[in-house]
Amino acid sequence: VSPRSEFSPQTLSVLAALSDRPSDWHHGYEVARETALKSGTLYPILIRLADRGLLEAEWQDEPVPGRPRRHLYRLTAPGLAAAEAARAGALAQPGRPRERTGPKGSLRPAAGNS
Amino acid sequence: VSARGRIAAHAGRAILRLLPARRRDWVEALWAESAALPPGRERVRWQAGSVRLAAREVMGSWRTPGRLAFTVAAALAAVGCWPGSAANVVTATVWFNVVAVVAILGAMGWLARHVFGPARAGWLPRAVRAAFYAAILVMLPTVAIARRYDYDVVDAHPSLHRYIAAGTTYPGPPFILIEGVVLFILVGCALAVLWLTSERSQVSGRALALAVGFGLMLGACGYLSGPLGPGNTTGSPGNTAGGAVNPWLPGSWTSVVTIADWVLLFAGPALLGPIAGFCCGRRRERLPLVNWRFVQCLCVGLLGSIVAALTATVAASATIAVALEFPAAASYLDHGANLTGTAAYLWGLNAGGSEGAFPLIWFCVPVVGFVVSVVVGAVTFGRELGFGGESPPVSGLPIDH
Repeated sequence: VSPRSEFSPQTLSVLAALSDRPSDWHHGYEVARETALKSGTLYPILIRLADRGLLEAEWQDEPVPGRPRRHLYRLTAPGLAAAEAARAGALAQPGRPRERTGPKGSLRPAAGNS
Repeated sequence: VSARGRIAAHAGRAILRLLPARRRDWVEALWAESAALPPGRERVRWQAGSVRLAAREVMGSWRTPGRLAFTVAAALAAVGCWPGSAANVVTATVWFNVVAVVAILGAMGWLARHVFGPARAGWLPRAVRAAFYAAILVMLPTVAIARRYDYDVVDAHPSLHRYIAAGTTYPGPPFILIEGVVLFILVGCALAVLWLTSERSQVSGRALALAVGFGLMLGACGYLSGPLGPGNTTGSPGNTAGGAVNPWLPGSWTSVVTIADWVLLFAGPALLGPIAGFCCGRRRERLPLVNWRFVQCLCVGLLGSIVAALTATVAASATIAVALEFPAAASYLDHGANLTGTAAYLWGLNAGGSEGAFPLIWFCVPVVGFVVSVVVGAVTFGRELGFGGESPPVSGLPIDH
């Protein structure tokens, strides 16, 4: 079984957006604007990242009056490492076609990481 | 908040309830985020994403589509059973039957998850479960049609009371007792099917496939020997004993099919059970080898006979219902001849009355399959199981593949 070699381009863009200011919390809309992803594509990616422990999420403590609380996201330490590794891998193999490792938008665990 | 807003909020909450708990937060988060977007097309698009996300998460979980499909199918079955005059005694029984059967099936599903564990991986175990549920739900309206027809005929012609009472569907006091027995059999069959298709039973995929194949073959023979019900005597003037009849087949072929029925009923579990025990690949080592072989043998006999009983009775009850609901079909169903008014009337009466024999099939066929497979399994693997007084010599030996 070959290990995961790359994330999908959409997931890479999300990881890149979140790893720009890794200590900051990000809103979904903000990530969507930076990645140009639609909400129906972005949130499944965020869910899979959170399921794998690469992303932490929490509800806003102090909501703006008149608006519902927002959900905030940032990468965990393993998430940051995965983003760095993915970015390094993408730079090292620029001509290599992306290898599908699962359904669209999914992130299969790397070998030995399950 | 406007009425439309309140309705949308209720609908949204209802959809959220369908989601697994760990996913609700995400859909709520997506929706809450939309408040930060400028009003207009962009916000609507964002909110549409929450609908897509909810649908994706709902469909991504097997249980929820299964529950939805069951709810829809149960509702359709109820709609098929519900019409009926309040003056018709059968109507109340039919309604009771729908509620009881749907409640039992729902409870069995819940019980199976907590006692037997999840369904075995693969499409076949899930397909067997889904087909079992579908077959029961199909039988609700088809049997109701036959019962209602009989009562309506009796009500219109009081002189037929004695005739119908001699049959099987007169709605007298024993009717509730019969319903109780039928529900008891249903619970037994549901438990058997849910256990044999569960992860915990350790039934191999090949044994399951063998059981289903055998069951379908026996069920098809059963249906061919009596497509209008086992007790129907029309189409065969010489047959007054209530034996198997197929109005489409010449007598000689009917005899062949009937013989095949009996042979398959007994020889199927007797031959295929040991084959499953010896040949089907072993999945785990939680059970001793011989016990595991015995379970495969039991699966073929019990599950195969349940599949057979279901196949024959569902197909026959559907045929009867079609014939009663569409009188024009009766002439085609009975030798393709144009029946006289009286003949068609008696034909319908007989066909309607035949459904009373279905509970008997439901009970007898699985019991025969169970008994034969237990006896054959004990004879074949008895010594290793310790029935012969000797210690099991092969437990723990390397597995077969």
